[in-house]
Amino acid sequence: MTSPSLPVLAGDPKSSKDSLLQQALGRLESSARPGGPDDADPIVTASRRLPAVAASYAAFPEATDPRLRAALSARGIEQLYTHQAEAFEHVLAGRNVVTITPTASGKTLCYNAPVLDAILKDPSTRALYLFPTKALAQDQLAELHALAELVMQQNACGQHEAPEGGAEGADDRARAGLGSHAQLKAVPEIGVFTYDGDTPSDARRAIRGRAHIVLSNPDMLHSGILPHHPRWAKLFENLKFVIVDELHAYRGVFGSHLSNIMRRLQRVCRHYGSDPVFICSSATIANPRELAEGLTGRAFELIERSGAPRGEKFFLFVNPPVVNAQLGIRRSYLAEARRVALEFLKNKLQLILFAQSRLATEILTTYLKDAYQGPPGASDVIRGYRGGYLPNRRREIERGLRDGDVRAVVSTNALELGIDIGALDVSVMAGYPGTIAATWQRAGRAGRRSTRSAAVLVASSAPIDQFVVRHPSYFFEASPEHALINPDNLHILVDHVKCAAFELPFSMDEAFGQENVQDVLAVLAEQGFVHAADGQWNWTHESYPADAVSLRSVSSDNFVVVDTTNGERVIAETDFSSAPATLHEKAIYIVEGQLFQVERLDFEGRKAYVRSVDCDYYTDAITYTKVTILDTFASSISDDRYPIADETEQARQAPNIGHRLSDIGHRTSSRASHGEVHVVSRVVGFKKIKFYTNENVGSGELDLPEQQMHTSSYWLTIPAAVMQALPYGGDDRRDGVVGLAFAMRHVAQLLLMCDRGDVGVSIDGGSLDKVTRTGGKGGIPEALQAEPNVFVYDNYPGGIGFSRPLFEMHDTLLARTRELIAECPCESGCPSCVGPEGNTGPRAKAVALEILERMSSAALPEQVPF
Amino acid sequence: MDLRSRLRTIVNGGATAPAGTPFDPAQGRELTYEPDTGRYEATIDLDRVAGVLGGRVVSNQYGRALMIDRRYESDRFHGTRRVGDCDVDDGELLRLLDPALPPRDLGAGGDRDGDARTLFVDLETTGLSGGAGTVAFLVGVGWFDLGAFQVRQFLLTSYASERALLCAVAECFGAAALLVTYNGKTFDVPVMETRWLFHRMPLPLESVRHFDMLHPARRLWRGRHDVSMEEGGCRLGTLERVLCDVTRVGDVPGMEIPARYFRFLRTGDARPLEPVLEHNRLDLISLAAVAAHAVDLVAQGSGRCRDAAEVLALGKVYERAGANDRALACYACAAGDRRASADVAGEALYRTGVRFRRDRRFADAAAAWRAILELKGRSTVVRTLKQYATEALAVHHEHREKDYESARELAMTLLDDATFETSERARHRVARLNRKLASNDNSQLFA
Repeated sequence: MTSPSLPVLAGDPKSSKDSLLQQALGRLESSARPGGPDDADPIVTASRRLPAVAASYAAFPEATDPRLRAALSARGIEQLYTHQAEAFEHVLAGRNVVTITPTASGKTLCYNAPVLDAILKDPSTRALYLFPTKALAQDQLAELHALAELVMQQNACGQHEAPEGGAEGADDRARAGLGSHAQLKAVPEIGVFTYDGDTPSDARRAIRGRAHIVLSNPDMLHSGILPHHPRWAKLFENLKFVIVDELHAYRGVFGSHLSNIMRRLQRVCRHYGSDPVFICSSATIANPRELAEGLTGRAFELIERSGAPRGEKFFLFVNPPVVNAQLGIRRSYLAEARRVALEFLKNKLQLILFAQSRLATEILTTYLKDAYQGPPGASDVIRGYRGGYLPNRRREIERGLRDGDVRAVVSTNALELGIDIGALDVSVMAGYPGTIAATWQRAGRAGRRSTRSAAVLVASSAPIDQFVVRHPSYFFEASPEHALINPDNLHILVDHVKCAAFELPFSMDEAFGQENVQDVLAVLAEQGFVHAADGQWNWTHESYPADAVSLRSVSSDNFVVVDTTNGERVIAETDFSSAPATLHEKAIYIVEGQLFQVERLDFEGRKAYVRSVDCDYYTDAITYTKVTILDTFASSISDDRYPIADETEQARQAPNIGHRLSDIGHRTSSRASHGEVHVVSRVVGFKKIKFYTNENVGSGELDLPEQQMHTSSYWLTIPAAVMQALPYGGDDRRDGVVGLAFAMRHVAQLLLMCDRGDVGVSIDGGSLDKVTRTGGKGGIPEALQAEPNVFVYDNYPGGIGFSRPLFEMHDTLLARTRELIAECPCESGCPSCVGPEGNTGPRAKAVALEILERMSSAALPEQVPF
Repeated sequence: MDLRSRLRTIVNGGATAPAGTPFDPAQGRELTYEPDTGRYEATIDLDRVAGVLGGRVVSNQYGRALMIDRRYESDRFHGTRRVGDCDVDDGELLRLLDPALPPRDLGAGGDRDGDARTLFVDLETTGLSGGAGTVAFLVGVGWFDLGAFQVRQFLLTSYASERALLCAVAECFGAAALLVTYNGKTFDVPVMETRWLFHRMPLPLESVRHFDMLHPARRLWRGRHDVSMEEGGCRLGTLERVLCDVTRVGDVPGMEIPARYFRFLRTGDARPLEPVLEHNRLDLISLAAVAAHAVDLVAQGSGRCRDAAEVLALGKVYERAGANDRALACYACAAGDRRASADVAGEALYRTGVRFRRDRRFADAAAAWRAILELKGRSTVVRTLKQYATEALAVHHEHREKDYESARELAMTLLDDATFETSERARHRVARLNRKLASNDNSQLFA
């Protein structure tokens, strides 16, 4: 790889900030290579300059209401960006539209302009805005309020002038850009309201009657609006627009739910005789139109090209140096991210530092707080930010970022979406966010329309990170990911058919999605949920079905964290599924760098009691997972040309790590399957890990209730012949399968282009961690089956559609896994291939490779990225 | 697994299709209506159901609806109460129980309200959650006619005939001057409104006045040991028993009611509904009886009450409605009742004191405070009231009577108070009184 060099900033740095940015980037670029300048493993593996882009403008559509135009003009907006104008035109023509919008490209005007225009022309018009979170809706409320206020002022002006008539009035209107429209209907007031779980009940009635624009979220639409649609009759009768912002957030399980909610919404609209236009905006993903169409069941126009200007941006890839070549261990990426962040902080640049998990967020916050020597007494310049903080604390941090009081924020993906935190100078990502789309989104949190900014990706030793950072073109040139949804996941579908039947009776020939809903209804009728009479299915159950459905997780339960250091005080909350891993007894729970130890977990009461402690370690939970096959949908033997290996001959071969497997010549076929599985997982223990050094300084066992789900899975079955032929002992064989699973998970993630948490992996025999591979307290390791299975499952009940594609990519999956392991420079396993030797075992790498060699048969695909 | 089997796994949580349960699929299918008649009428033979339940079929623009009428003659008894004595006069007495109730409009509306009646309303629904999927399958209304209680029940015999039912109910409701319900503000009326809105029919209730008996009932009887012990507190079923000694025999439990209705929809057999209809009728009479009992209390005052606690509660109801003299009479009666507990007497005196102070009758208020200090009893309530009275009396002596010595003595007794805040206040008061006393002495010296 040629050594990249940092491009010189174009032109003279105009401001001191630009030169400070250049200085910091320069220092990073010259980071010493451990092996001298010719080291084949550079620290900065890529350095790109993304040039500034000038704005391209377009005129307002002819039909724009003059009051809207005047209001925008009062804000200094005399013309639109091309994408805004295009969206406006489509909406005026009644076409659904989805706009791809980078951060800070004025996407809100893409929908606010046509909506306000329509309200001005017909005050009975209603619009429903959906944001993925409450916080985003609150954020938009202020902006929309201000704009509606301006529009109403124009409206008032128009009213004053109208009765005067005459040439003078007309002149004034012309000067104000009002044009020569005839009679303008007066709009007394444009009602803009948020409607969510926080809306007081006495305000709700007023909102139902008065709101022209309702800002809400899918959860509220699902459980608070649709089931009560008769009370919202005025909204639904006049619903002209449905706005879905942050469309890309609706992928996987959440998207599959939203798609069903949209089906329900459109049924209700039909009941009231309305047929709204959908306006969606999305970050850059590969399939925005397909996603919008999948979510709504409508045809869409796509606007890909943004007319907004963009400031110059520098993008650096940083790979932490190898500190132990033998074990393939690199310097901790968190420590490296800290170093990078400090380079910028030193130069007074404001930055956001993205971490991959809540835990990493807290660790990095601690590191930065320890290291950053701010002005005395100003300890609040470094803040942590993640879901689970209480809303007040989050608002305070957002405000601090906008005001500049907060110099650095360490965040999970909670700040990836469009919460307004102003324009920061630098975005540092500790670890690859998992997808190209998310990476661009996070990089976009730094820099606005005209300022220079920088983004730095610090790779962890995870295989996918190492791949991306060593192959920068994959990131800079490849298309971003597809957002996949599976609205016809039967678990999800059945739940929403119940909700839909509660809302309106189903007719005997009605369709709802791709599956035959009449079958679903017939089965629901068997259980008494619905009853067929008079040509329709009526809801005949006492329950309120929306309450039983949680759109984001397996269950709607959550845990609260109670600090008992000084009286009792709730300091955080966490969702049900992550509670066992983060709130088990003796766990170290971290909130903004402050350490708490969990003293008691009240599982029934959903409370964890913690006390402030001072210690030098954190804890990491160990989870045991067991997968049982329920139903095999399809199975394939990838190749059976080769006879089963001669076992006696294989057994005689000496265990030789370095031997050429291709010499063996005997291979056997592997079997791939996909189907339905039952997954049981349980947190069985935890490790204590020292800050900074990451030494394992202790461990403990836990006895927590297990969590269960049905989902879909891909699995690889390693033939008994292959296992028996391995010239290794039982423990080594198992280590090899574990190592293989470790590597396959990461390759699967890359092939599926999915998020880290979207797939889970398991082998027969449970945990992938050596400490507790036994699956219980001090038990004996479970023996591998004669034909062990490696499962890569959809990490959501019912599955979200990854298993079949993975099944179809089986050969590629194995080939690339083999490449990944074979090409890894480590000797006997490292976190970048089969997992660290200490966790997986001394021969895991060799055994995994041999298993793959023996199974692989088909020719490798032409292009292998590893 | 085929689609239906997989669906069954999901819907039943793993069990296969049930057999022999109340929702036996075979039964369900057998009775499934043949679609496509194109007519807006019930699957179930309306006339036969009418025959079984003793009702009649009425027609309107939307179709046919089933109506069941029953009459309870005035000299019949509901528990210990004569039916004829359950009538509730729609007048000032009702507005003492609910001050927010607008007065009956006898003027401009002409005779609209003149012969319009007071309608008691109670619904039986398919669920308690509200929302579009909660249906009022039985709308029970009752009114007094020549002393007799006339009950009319509208039964939904199929979802498809709901408009016809709603139309008939709207006609009945729209002609009322006043609705009387139990928890109707929260439940019954919103449910009915949702039904009319669902079918996009006009709302007949917007101009009809509404008296919800639940809230006055809570004010009057929540504190009763035989009421508060009951699960759910002031339930109508509890009140009818403790107030009117009504015992129901073979009554169908409320939680069973939706299931009975769903079974009727599936089987067409209306007989299991008869107990549901009876339950609804009893609820209507009990509602009238309980409301009448409450009206009796406000009409007759403390003399009608069973004990001092009820007298105190009645006093609070009067005070809330602005009937201060009646309230004070009740408080005096409760405080003076030898059988009254110290807690009840104490609260009555406290409210007397506060009332008098608000009316600027300071000497009378001071008398109430003194009476509190003489109470026997060591409960938390009494202790708290004594602290309050001591402080109030200290204020009275300091600012009204200018009797600094007595004020200081009272304030001193507050000093060893348990709570920091009050003892802190007392400390300041004592210090201030000391200064005042010193300057008084000085001025006397100079005089």
